[in-house]
Amino acid sequence: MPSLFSQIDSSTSHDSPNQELLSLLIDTEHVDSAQPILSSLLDFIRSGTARISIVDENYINEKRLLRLQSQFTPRLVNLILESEFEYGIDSQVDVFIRNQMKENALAAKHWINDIFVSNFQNPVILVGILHIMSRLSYYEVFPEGQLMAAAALVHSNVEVQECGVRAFESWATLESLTILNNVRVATPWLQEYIKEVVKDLSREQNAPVG
Amino acid sequence: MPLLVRKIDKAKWLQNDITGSEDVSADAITICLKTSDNKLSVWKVSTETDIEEAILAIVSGGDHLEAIDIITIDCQRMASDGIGFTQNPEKSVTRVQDLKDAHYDITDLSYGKLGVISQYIVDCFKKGQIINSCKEGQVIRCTEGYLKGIMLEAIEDGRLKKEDLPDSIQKKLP
Repeated sequence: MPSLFSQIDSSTSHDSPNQELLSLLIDTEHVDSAQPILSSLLDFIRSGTARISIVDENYINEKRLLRLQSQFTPRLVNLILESEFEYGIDSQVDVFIRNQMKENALAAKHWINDIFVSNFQNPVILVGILHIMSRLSYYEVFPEGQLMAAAALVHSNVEVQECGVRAFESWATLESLTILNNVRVATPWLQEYIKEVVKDLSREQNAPVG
Repeated sequence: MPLLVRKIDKAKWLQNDITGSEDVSADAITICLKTSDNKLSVWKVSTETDIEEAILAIVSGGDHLEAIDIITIDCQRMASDGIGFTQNPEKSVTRVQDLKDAHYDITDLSYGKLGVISQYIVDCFKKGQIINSCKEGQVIRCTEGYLKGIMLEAIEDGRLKKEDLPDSIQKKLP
């Protein structure tokens, strides 16, 4: 594929303290139409009326995380406190979190995990978060979702423990089976439930358990 | 003996020791017995052997396939307590067409009548908690695996179309 190559003086960037040449390499089948656009873009940058930033993926994620923490944490916490979570039924919080996950899953998971940890004394928040995480796929929420669910299994509140079990039941992987098969809780009805879920997962995964 | 079937959240009811001497938690009442227009949505079945039909009606109308808890209420007991119910297929959200008529509303509910229904549920807990089997008068927990089995059977019988279900449920079915 033909390429266009150009260089920009990095002194136009406010992120770069040292002057250096930034290389631009653009592969395109449409060199003729791209050439004038690129020239216009470079002229625009050199004119000093635009600022460019050198960004990497870490920068993007960090920026997103800061935005979530500053703008959306109170909203999520309030939504969870005001929502009615019913098993089997979507809530407003599900929709909100799914949208955040679509925009930047890495930052969203990190953000939700932070809220989970900082609210570990608040079962209502934990139950709300676990409801939502259990409805996303195993790989979407990995590894934060699994760590939150595992932490829930040892929480002092039975409902939080149950939500941890439900999350692993919902993800229904071999790891879920291994974890649940090694969990012991003090509440008889919850231990009975775990036993039954282990049976289900063992059958689905074709993995006999002792 | 006709029965009314309702979904509850067991953990809310077990916040307090209701099978002992403790009072029912407010969460159990406000979350599991939330009324609309003084009505409570239920599913009616003819006998204990049909409880699975009500479970199918409930799970096929949901957005996600998740474990649920259900209780049953004896219609005769309700009648003797002066609590009425009427058929309401229009309000039914099930995706199984032949179960739409099984949807009922407990009607004209008041603070006092809600207390009576709350006592029916406490009585179910006193009678026992079971998993993945249907017995009248007890609290039944249905795991995801059990619910998958019920839904797959309905699909095989042509009563439910897999493509009519939300993506999140379809993904969980083989």
